[in-house]
Amino acid sequence: MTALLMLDLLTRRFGGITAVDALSMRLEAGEIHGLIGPNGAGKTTTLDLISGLTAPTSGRMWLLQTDVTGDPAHRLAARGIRRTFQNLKLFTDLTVLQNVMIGLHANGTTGVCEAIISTPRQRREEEMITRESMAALATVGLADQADRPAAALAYGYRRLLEIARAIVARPILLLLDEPAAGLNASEAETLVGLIRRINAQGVTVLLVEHHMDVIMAACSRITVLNYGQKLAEGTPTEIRSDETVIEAYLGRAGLEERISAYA
Amino acid sequence: MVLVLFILVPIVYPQEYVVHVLGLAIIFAIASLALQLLLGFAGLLSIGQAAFLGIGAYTSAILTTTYKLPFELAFLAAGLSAGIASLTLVPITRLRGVYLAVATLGFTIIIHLVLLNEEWLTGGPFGILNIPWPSLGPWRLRGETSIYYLCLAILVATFIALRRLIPSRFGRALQAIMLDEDAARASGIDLTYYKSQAFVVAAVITGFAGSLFAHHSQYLNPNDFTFWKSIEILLMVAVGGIGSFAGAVTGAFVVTLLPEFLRAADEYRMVIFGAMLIVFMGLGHRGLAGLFSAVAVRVLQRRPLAEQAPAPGLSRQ
Amino acid sequence: MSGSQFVELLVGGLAIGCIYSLIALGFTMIIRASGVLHFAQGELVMLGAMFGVTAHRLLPLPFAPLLLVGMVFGGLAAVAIELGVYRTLRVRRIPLINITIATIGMSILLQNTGQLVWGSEPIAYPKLFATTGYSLGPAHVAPQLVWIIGMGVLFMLLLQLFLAFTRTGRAMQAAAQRPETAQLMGINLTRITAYTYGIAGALGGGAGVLLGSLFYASFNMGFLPAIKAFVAATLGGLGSIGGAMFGGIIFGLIETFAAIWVSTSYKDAVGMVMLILILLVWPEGLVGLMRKGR
Repeated sequence: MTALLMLDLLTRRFGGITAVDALSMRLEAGEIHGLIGPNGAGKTTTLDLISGLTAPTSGRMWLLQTDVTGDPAHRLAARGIRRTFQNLKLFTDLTVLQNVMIGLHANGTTGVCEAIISTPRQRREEEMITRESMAALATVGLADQADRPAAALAYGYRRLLEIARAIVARPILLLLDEPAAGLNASEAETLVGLIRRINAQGVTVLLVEHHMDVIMAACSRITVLNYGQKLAEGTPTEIRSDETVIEAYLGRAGLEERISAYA
Repeated sequence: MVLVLFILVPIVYPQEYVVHVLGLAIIFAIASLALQLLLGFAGLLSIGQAAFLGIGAYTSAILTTTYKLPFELAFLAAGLSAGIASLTLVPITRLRGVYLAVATLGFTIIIHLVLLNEEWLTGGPFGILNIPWPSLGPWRLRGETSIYYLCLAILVATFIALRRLIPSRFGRALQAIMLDEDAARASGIDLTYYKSQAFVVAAVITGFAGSLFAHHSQYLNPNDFTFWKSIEILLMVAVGGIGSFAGAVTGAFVVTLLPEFLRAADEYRMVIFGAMLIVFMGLGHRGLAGLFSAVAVRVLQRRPLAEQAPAPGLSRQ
Repeated sequence: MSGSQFVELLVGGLAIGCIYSLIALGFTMIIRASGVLHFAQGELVMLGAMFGVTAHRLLPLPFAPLLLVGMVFGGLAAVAIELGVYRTLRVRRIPLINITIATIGMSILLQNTGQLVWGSEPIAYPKLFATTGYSLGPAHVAPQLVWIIGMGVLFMLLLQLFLAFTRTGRAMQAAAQRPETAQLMGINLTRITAYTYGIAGALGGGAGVLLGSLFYASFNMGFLPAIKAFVAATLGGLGSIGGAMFGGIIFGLIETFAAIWVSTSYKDAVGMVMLILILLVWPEGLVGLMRKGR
């Protein structure tokens, strides 16, 4: 079975720091894959690499059968890789609906001249974009806020808006960067449900999270990073009891405490 | 409504000088609209607009004087040549903020020097004289009033075109780029392509304004197109309010007409102008446009301020 | 090109380069401190030159004290403008671009006020230097140029020392890099910003005296040198003190040497083309290039 995404010894160096160190990973189509690790492990940089925001220092990346190493972000987005951001990057001066409509940019083709003359084709395209955007908003539950300025949304809704913008173009791979940050338990549960629904529509998901409950509940497989390197990979059950993982998160003392707890 | 006023003015004040100055203001309003697209909606600070004004003006002038081509062709060619010239700026679109501005500044200075020195083409420091009145088909538009209405028509057309452009896919892409480049890239927007396009669109519009300028003044001098002129256009946009097309037009009128009104103050004219500029800047980034809408709200007292307040990037009536 | 010609051009280029550097430092310090592109910097140069020549009329001072006069007045003028106008705008939370444009207004105001006060005619600077030049082999070097280079280098050194070793200097560095943190540590931002403008004005005023003594003083003398200095600062890397110094000198050298090969009418373009080319390859300027090399 061909993997959806393959990373082969992908490396990203910043000056003297190696943020991502020879990472090799396979994402199978249709899975919800978790990416966890302590702070500074290189998770966001990995997402930056996959989404094309940063170019790798070395290594290769394949999307389906195509070598997309070093492709710029907008090209990868057009190929179907979309993402959300850890620190939320909304277009704050635009409305909620306009934010999502931008997600469909690569699906449109009309330019300056058609916009000025307002050809029938342009009007049809705008209608399509508006329709699909409203549908995406409905999926995340924000349809009633469509015309409000994005800046007016509450924090939790802002995260949903980013997700709506990312899924409106029906991506094949969705990268979520700590979507549950700042959410309480019930909000996190709703989020898991949303991720599952999105996944059910055929979107492969790579989920970076610190919220362990969300990871364990949503993911079928998990990769653990530490210091930019892959530490472990496996099912949630495997990862939960993996000694090296526990040590990375809790330190040597924490590991011994855990071991003695099981003994 | 405001348009009606503009249409009536030359009838009410038929003095040639008044109409001439107003025509000039309209021409600069067109150039300001172009800069507003760049600055207020794409977030690109360009101090290079005077270069495109000059390229358009000289193209139009040379084609009508030396080659005796009709005005309509010269007008279109002016926009075209300015647009093509702007393609040289494609490489610098990846520069950010101030660096981009400085590069456009350099561009303006270079173009000015070319206009000044290439006498075989531009007449050098002597400029070009006896530029004919514009023509539309068989009619020759003689007289200040006719030109005024032509310029007004172009201004209105530009205004409508730009207002249509902003809520479109292209306009959204520009605003996305201005608000968050990373998110724009992640949404599939090619930054270089759209920034370059914005420059080209602005250059073409400014080129058209240049053509009007040439046939309005009927005499061209390279010193009309120094980087200082670029700064003046920037002032017009800033005074009127960044992010508002109506503001850009207002600003153009203020900056063009204010020195005229200050003629009474004679030698203190520019000193007062400078001071007023500082005061205008104290109005905040919505400039005069913001001031007017704030006043309008208080006068009309109908809808709450939050709904009325215009924000850059949102479509306005 | 003969050896002596080379030396003469070198000295000339270094001299004008030092002048550009001083003005560029003014731009850089203000940008670092408040993010504002100070369009009126050229007018501070003009004021320095004007006050210098006016002072000389009242009291015939030699070169060095005259330079000091120009610097003092340039600095005071800058502080006055900052405290009177710019700070008022900042307090009202006026956005940066507006303040930057307000500096354009200030530039217009100062230039035209200068015209009112000192007239439209250029004013010649008095002879402050010996006319016989030094000889480096077959080359002849005007002592004035040597003085300019000397003064320029001296002030740049003093500035570096000031910023690195004095409390105020270090406070200025801190405030430029992290204003909020600096404020939390008890640094009075208002005072520091005022000092910054004062130094920028002093450097500009000094450059004005140097420039005036080289050419002449007039109400619009600051305009073009300021643009060039700003281009030079960008060349070196905006926001970098070293970049401003480096960029100014490089710009001066290139401008002087290019005048031989390029027709004089396009002399000004050389710097611009150079700037654009350098920015394309190294968007952060030359200093950015050096940083990346580490």
